[in-house]
Amino acid sequence: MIAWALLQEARRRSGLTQAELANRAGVPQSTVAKIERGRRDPSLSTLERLVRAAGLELRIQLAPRDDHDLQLIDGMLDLTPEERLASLEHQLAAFSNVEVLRGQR
Amino acid sequence: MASGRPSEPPTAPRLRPQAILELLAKHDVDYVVIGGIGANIWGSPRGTLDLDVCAATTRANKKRLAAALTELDARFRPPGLEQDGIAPPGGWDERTFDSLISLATTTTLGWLDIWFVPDGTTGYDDLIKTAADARIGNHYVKVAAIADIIRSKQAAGRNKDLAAIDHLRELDARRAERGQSAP
Repeated sequence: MIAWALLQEARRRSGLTQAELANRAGVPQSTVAKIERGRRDPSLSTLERLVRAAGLELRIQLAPRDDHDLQLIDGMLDLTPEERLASLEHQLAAFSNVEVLRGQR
Repeated sequence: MASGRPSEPPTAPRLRPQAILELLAKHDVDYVVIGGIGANIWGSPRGTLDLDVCAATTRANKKRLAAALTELDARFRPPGLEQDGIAPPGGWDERTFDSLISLATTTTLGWLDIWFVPDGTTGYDDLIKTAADARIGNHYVKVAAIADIIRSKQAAGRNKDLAAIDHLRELDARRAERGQSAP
């Protein structure tokens, strides 16, 4: 769960300013600002309160973990820094080939 | 080749970070790798279109940096003119950087962004204290600590920066689990 993204989206949908949302939720405006900038991870209850103040509901579900990102990280950590950059360059080269093919259509 | 229609995003030249880093080393530029490539060196699998470095602000270093940018045929990369860029009038020299805290360039080896004061930091002297050495080719390059890359992304505060923070934290935690402290 990415708290800052949830809160930004909730506030965007509500049309409220940070100060208005904070006032409705009974928290300092700086709390909203810090969460939205990723500088503070709110407790679940605080996030729930803020989302409710925006007129929305926070629903949380359990789901199987998607560890794809972690697998990619493990793959990179098995490489040396130089090999990691080479891997990136290889990816970028592949994408640039796609761009060339697109231009040839 | 891109069609050049204004609705399409600019096509970045193919980035060759290792070649740029080797060229900066050849010119003895003092710098710390930051941003997406910094994260790549630490083991992030995420791609990026540009290389961000934080350069030391001494006069001598700016002179060496200007020489490196000249060899790279670097041009300023303002929004809307990313493809061709704008060459600095009179060429690159240490005075080109006066009053700049950062500059985005397009070079023969891809997009290179130079920072003198990256967001959330006070610059090279701040980052070099906790930077790590990573062997790239025949050189060791200084790469900013993951915590400092996170700090800078938090300060930048753009959605793409904030979105990267959770990934960087996961990378940092995974490295700790594997007992990998050096890049």
